[in-house]
Amino acid sequence: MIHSLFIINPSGDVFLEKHWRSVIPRSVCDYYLEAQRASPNDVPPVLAAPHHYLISIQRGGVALVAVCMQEVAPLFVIEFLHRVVDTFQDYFSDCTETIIKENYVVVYELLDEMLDNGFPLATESNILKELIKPPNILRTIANTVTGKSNVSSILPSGQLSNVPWRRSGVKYANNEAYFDVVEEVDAIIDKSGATVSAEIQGYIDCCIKLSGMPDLTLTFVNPRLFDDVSFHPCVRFKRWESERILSFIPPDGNFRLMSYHIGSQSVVAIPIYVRHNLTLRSNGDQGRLDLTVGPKQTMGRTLENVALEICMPKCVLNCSLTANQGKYSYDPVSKVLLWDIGRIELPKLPNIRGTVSVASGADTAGANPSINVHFTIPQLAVSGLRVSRLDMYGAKYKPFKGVKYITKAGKFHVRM
Amino acid sequence: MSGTTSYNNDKVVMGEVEYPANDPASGAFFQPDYKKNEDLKLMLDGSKDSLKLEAMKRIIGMIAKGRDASDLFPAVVKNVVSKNIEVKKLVYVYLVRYAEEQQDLALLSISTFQRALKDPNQLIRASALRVLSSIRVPMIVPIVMLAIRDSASDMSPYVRKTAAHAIPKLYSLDPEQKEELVSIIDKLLSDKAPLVVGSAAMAFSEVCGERMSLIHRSYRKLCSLLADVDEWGQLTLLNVLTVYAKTCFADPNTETYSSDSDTDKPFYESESEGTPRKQSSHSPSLDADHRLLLRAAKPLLQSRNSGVVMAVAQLFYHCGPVQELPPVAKAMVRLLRAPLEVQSVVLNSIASLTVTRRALFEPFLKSFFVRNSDPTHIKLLKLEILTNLATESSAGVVLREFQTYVTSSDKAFAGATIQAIGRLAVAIPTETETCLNGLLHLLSSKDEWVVCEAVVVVKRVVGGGATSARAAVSRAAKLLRSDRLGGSARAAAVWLVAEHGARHPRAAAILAHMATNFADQDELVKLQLLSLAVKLSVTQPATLAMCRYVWSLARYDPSYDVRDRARLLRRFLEPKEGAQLPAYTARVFLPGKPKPQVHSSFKERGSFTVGSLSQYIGAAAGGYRALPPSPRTTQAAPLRAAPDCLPPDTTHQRDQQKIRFYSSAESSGSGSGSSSSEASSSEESSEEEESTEEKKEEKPAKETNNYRSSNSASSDSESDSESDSEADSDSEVSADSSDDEPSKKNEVTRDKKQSNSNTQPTKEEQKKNEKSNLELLLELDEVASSLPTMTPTCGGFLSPPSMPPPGLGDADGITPVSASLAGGGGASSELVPRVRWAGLGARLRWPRAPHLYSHTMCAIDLLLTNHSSNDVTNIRLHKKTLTGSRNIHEFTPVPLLSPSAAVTVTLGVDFADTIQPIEFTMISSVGEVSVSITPPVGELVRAVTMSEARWDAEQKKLRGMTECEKKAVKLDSEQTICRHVFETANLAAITSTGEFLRFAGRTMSAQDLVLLSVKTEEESCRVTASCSNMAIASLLANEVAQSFTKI
Repeated sequence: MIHSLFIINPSGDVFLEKHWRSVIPRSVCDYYLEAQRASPNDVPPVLAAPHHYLISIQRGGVALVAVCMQEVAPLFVIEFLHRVVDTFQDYFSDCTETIIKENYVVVYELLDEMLDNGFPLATESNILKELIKPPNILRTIANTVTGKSNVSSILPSGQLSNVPWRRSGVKYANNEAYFDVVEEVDAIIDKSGATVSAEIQGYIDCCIKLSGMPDLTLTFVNPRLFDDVSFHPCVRFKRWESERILSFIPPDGNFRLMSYHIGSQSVVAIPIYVRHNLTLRSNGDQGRLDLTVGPKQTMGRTLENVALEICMPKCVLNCSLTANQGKYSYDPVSKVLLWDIGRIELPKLPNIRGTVSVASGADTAGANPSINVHFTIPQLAVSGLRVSRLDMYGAKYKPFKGVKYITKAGKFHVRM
Repeated sequence: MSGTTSYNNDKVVMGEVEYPANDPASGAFFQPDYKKNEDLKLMLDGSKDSLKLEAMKRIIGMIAKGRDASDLFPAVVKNVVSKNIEVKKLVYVYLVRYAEEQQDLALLSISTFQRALKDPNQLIRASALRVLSSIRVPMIVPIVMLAIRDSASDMSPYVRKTAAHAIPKLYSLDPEQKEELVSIIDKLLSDKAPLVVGSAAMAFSEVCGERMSLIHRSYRKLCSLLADVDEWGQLTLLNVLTVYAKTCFADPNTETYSSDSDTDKPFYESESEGTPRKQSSHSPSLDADHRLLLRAAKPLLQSRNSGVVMAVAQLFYHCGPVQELPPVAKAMVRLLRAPLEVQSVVLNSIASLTVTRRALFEPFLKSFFVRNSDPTHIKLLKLEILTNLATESSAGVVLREFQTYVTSSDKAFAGATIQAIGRLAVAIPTETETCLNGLLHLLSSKDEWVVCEAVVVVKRVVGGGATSARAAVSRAAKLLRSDRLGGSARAAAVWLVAEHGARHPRAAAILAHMATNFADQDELVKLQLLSLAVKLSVTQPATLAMCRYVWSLARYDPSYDVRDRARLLRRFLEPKEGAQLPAYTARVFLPGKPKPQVHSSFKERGSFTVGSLSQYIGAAAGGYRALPPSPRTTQAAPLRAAPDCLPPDTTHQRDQQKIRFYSSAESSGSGSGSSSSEASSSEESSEEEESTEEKKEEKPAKETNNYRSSNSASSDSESDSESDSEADSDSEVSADSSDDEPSKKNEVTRDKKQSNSNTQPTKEEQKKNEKSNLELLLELDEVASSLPTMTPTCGGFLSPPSMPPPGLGDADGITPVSASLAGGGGASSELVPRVRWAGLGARLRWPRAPHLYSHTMCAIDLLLTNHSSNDVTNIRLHKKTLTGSRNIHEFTPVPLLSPSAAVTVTLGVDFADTIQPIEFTMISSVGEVSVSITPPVGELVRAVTMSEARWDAEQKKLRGMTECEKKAVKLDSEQTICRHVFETANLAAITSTGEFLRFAGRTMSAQDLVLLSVKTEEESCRVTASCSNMAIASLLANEVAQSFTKI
């Protein structure tokens, strides 16, 4: 299991360490740092050092490196590390080096509570929050006056119940339940504009502020769409299997209720097209670039926050382009051309064209850059998923309910 | 926050020191060492909680940064009794971190934890156990053992969970406790609370993962609880159950197995409905228990935790029927959207799965297409999978993808793609031509790097004579002429020409071209050119002249590999008298070769368990246990039936409750159904029931019902106020503890009985011992050695014989014996050199005999020698400086010692069981000299003997703090060990053969038992000394261990 945890900042300093078993010298991180130096964006998550195994994740600019001594499922450790970062984000609203340093005492208490002898003890955010109160200024002042502490002395009731994810005694003046249905389109479009592969990855995020112990039921108009689903532990699997409805006692606060996958076998609507033309070396050291973006299969909605990111071939020195909409920037070091378009208003199609200067004598054949496309479409779930109703049992009040749909580009990729 | 500032101050110290700190407290970091952390100590010693908290926060900051805070230990450990819970928690954190380094001081805190273990608050009990078990101090092993045993039967499932967590900790501290721990694990595995079961599974796999027999009894219960356990527990439990299933159930894939129409059937169906259908639809070849596990595990594929999904995949892959794998594949593909690290692990597993089970992932081919934004190692994994997945039908799609990848700017990836194309060409015969054409096309790429890579791959593909070899050869020939290839690629091209184009007319031209700058070629190329030359001379004899020319070039080459090769090859072609070789030239150089085999690099990874660390790194990690092969037939079915012997109504009722939770009352659609508070409270009550159930089980069913009804009534009445239920459970605690008491008493009496029965054999042994005493008396020479003090100087014959007072030894079967090593502690050592005492010298020897004056005294022989030329008179003891109960019995004065004469006198010293030196002065006619004798610890004990069983029993009493263990050099034979032990200490051997040698003795003054054991292990010996006098134990263990290094 997990022996020790080191948190490392981008410059390679170990700024926090915690040991659950015997103390392991931090020099063991050198193996990680070495791999990181070799290729900063391509560190394998599991590294084998002579006597230790380093399992690491990178998030929010910091790297969490767990040290194990024995055979362990790598996903066990990776999932746990992600859960640690999630918890930090939940507590401090973000997980960066400065924030961890500012809250090191709470961080340390959390780590101590989450892992016992290398095995997870309490990872549910609702339970942790009862054990260790998240820091906020008001409470700090109150504590100094009253002499109370942030650490609870009684066991959170959730630990023992069958619904460990929900804390007890929740009370709100306004009872609200919001659901965000977010769908991300992953696609690879080839040179000619044909779709090589397309998938939809969707999730339903909730923000639930309901008093007492509400029992919710969420039904869909067309639940047969889902290819594959995964649920928060609160969802009753049996009812999903038999009736295709989500029945659950929700945790308090924000959480991801389910995520689903609509695979490459089904037909996925591609809501955007990019017409591109890049010729390097049309005359001398100048090449030409011409890009046009337009909507396609958007079901009447507008595309917003459209942005194109092109990783140019190494030989491109600079670009001088004119866009009829939005702004562009080119970074000659990383060779990334970024074109921020914004909203696409028909009938005008955004277009960018101009010349690119190419290093003389460089080999331009075979360089095939690709375009990463970003966009969002509000009020649309591209798969056609619709929530039909939300029912609540087990509480007397009438909650305020809301469902929001949004479609985004996931890994949307156009090859040039 | 001030906590923040201290953390940042640390940074200042690390970086630039010129800023003086504003905060007086933080100034401590800049002060010289002797005052370091002085202010923190002051804050901790004070009485204000807020200051203490502040100090602790800063100390935690130091620990977090990895700076040493161990010198604060005494100040911190005091605060373990603090009332402030936050201070306390931080102290715990500190204590766990440094206890190992400051073992003695850490012991001070133990009693606090022992008290806290009895606290009514379950959180305090649990955290006390957590910290207590985390303190890595070997001395507290018995205390922790006791605590674990008690907590394992605690009322609160949370405390029991903590107990399960503590088990591996204790095991790593003292592996000898294994058996006892295993019995506790066994108990915890049969626990009914899901909270406990996951941790119990963890303890099981850490401590005794190989003992599958422990699972039998609780197997069915574990399967049914699987869905309720928390995700980490599910993961561990699944791993354990996978091993179990592999050990006990027959492999479902060996027999023909009717397709399971059942896979889509909802899982959570009430048993009553499920059973008949289950039996009808399942083929009899799959055991019902096996099916139970697979059914329980399947819903977990929908878990949000990728680790759990992978664990299910592992179970299905290794133990499930092939027909049920597709949903698993689907779930694994879903994980590809997870964070990068997860992707990497999942892809790795898929890559090795696709080697054997290609069909599984074929429908998901497109999910593995590479994106430019993927990191290189992900790209390579996807490439591997695509290559493995490609079939005749999908090869076209895959090759088209590869075409895009080849031009990638990521060189490593592009190279790997070319390799992959080569593999496809070999693996799919119908595509060989297409692949080869593509590769040949790449040969004319402008990118040198691509060309080189392609040549190498072409060489491999063409290998055993594909039809298009000619095209390849001519392309290679063209390349060689243009001199655009790098070293290894050029060598490969030459090889290609030599292998397939030896009959080609242009081959000779190439050789000629290459020969012109032979000297400038790489060594690898030169070697290939040599073999090209030989092959040409065989197929086209006209080229022999050129061949000779190449040889002569090679003959004077700087590399001796090349020279050697030239010399060797020459023998084939230069006709010599009687040489047989030239006849075989053609057969040696131009044989038919088989087609090359290209394997996936992931093939060997398939032998590791799916999703394990070992599989990821491609080598067995430490502690990796391979899955056992499946047995022919399903085993141990009747054993698993055990837990079903519960009173029928109990199980039934509980089942129903369980079902109700997951189906949330069949009528819930109407909305009027059970209100959730009700549901949850009834669940809680079931929770409580479960914990008490074990005890209730044996009581009549009627009573159980009463209990339940009252309990459910109480829980019904409560609304959702938790305090009520808390109080409820508390009252139960007290009720149950009173319940417990009689049973405890029972246990005590049973124990007594046992001890009574134990004493009888010891009495018999005692008789035996007496006999042996008699024999001892008869053996005169030994007795003589035990009574060596028959010198005239001795205290007198009439002094009481050195038998210990009656009742000390005999009554308990421990009898003193004479020293095992006659003559005692070896050579004599110099006590007073003659120069100090005007020519009079004194040497000291430990005869290991009891002193006649008192049995608590140690006899010391003093050999006085007169080295001077004058007579010395009246040598006697003069002043003694004595402390405590120590005592010296003087030797009889020596009236006269003539020149070069010597005399031995015997001194009796009671050292009071310490190794403090004893000081006295001796006086004679030539003056006074002060003497100090430091006894070796081995001389402070006297050998005793007892039965082996008795020894073991005594040793059990002396565990923990009174036990001291040392590692020593391994000695080859028992005799040597015994000799070393006897030389070091006056002990008697109880067992002197085998791996485990036992020795025993008693201290001289206090008559404390001293037990020593030497255990021979693989590489070392372990010396363990136990004595209620801790100092003696540790000293003795040390000395004995050290003596082993002497030869």
